Amino acid sequence: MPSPLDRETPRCPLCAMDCPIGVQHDGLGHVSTAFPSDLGVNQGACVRGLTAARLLDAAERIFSARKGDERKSASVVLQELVQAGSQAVPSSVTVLVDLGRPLEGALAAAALCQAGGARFAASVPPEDMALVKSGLTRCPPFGEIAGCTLLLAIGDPFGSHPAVAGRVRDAQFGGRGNKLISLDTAWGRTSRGATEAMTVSPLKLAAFMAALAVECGAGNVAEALGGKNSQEICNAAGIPPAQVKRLAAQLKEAKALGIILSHPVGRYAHGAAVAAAVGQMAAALKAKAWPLLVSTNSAVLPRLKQKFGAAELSDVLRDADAGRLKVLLVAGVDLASVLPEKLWRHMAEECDLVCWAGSLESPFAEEAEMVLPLALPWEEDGTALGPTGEPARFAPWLEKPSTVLTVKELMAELFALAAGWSLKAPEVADLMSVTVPEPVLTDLIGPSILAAGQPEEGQAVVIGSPEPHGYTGGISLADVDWQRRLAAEEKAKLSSDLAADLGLSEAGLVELRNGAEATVVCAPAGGGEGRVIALPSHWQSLRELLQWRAADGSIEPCPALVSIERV
Amino acid sequence: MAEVKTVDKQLIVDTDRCIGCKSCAAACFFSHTQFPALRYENVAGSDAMPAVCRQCEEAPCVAACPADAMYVDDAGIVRRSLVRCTGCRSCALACPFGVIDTETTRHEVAKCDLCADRTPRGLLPRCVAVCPSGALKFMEIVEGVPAAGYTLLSGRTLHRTR
Repeated sequence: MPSPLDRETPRCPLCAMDCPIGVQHDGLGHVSTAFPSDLGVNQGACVRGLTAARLLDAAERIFSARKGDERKSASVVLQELVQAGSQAVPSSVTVLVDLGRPLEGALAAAALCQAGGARFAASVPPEDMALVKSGLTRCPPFGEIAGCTLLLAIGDPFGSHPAVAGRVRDAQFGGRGNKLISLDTAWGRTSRGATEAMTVSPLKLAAFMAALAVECGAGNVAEALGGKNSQEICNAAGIPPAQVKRLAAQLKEAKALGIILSHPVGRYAHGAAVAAAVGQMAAALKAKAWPLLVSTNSAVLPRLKQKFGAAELSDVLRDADAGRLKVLLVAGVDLASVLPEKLWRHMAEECDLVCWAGSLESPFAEEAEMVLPLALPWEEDGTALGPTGEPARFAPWLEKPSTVLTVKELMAELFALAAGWSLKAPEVADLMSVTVPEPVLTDLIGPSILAAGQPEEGQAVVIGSPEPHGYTGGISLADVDWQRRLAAEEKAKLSSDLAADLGLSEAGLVELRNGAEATVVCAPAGGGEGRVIALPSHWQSLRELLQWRAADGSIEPCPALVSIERV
Repeated sequence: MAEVKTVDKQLIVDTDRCIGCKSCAAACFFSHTQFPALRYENVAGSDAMPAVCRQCEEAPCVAACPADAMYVDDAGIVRRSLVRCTGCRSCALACPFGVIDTETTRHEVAKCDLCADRTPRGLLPRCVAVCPSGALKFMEIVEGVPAAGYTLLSGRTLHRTR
């Protein structure tokens, strides 16, 4: 997301790294990314940012509206949508907006819903929910990573945010004795490049982080767990205390400690507890922390809740379950590439009318009764948050086609049709002036993180492996030619214990079952603790297999126990 | 016509910095009529490394080409002529580093041209420009001696000295 110092350079919106992107148009309708020799703070864009330009003229692009299979003009579809909305009970109408776009669209949607009595809901990437709940959403400028003498990377930041690697490498190789310690639940890109790599079971990482935080002096975490010290936490969770003590000793001795927290899909359970423990530990050690969001705008969700009573995606799903949702307008987020099929299809079936404003064809578009053409996130001008949490202008890559709408334009047109006058939406400055209470630590860290079940023989824990192939922010690049080219190389990865149990020394097929089923190609990854299988994050089968409802009914993609059998 | 300067710098891979994100291969793919001249490989001792043309001084691919399609241009870059190439793959067989790719459908070979539309103008090759970890570098190596803190694994591959 953009730097406030540079208001004109287009930036990649696909993660929190704020990478400058150059885009060129040949005047004949073909767009390609251009690679300036000097790309500013971060050296370059990862393959996600590079391939995102393909969407600008992709065959799957939606440029016109339709109702059912019949093409109609956008104004006709909008008129029919307004009619349907006005016939329904206002509280049964919900507008769900993608927060990964300039904020003016979400604010316009909030104003529209306030005026009409409808429910306003904001969608953030599921990967970001843990950080948002814990309040750990801001970080210092990424350039300061290079000044750290010891970096602790939790998760796989090289995989989920490749552009952070340059700064981490600068730190790692910048001085004698500088170190990168990787703490992850599987053997990933960061582990391979780390000075020291540790793996922890996906179901136990939260307990490990709580014990580590307590060992590093975070008394609040100990209080949240009933006054337990780190030894007691380790004993309760079945973690070797010596591992925690050794790591804590290194962290406490570091001259300049930095902690990087990555949260790819389903990488570890109790994500909010992990994030909260990281925040407390960083405060206790006076360390800098870089929580890596997928979308920096996710940080604004608590303010939207406070000011507009915004609902989350999980609330929308609950409303649909309970029969309270009749008319649903989804703007921007493709639920088919975010949620497992059984969840989004059930929601669509429970509604009387689903209207989807989106950019690319998808199974969700096919299910919707109405479809409206929406601009891509990088065709919308507006305001977005930077990684430090400050608003800045988001400069679009190119002008949007004339037939597509931005989210703000869509909401304004709906309002004009319904009310007969122009929508007056709040400013971003109004939103940023809202004060939000700090999250309560005991809501995030509790005894439940200590009671983790472990996979037995014939079982495995399934997690997401954050391969940076294509866009992962709610639009699927699954059919883009670059994806197809790499598809042959992609395999699920097995921890060495699991590979040995299955008798797999090379690639093979396994079947996974936990209510959903998948047969996947896998290969040993040569590391990792316990019985863990990591599927590429953009594989549909991963979304189907993860656990999607936590005990409190929230929708978070968490590692799940599956049965595993060699085919 | 702009003056063509000889490209003195060399494309170097820092094996310790590479994180295997494949952005270099993506950049090459999209900028070279969707035909990649840079592959990503798993190499023993270094889990991830872009495999790229060495721009040899006495290039075996140039010597092996029966159609004079492989040549060294004014800027000193080893290049392939689209018009002359017959797709015989002699260059791919002759290359001791295995970095010339073949496309059997279009009867063409893929050969890194060091982004010949950029480097003579002083710009970085695209793979170097997009590398997010700084693994790919475009630098001068004087008389075979790399920068301090590196050792040369091969003519174009650096490994950091710990």
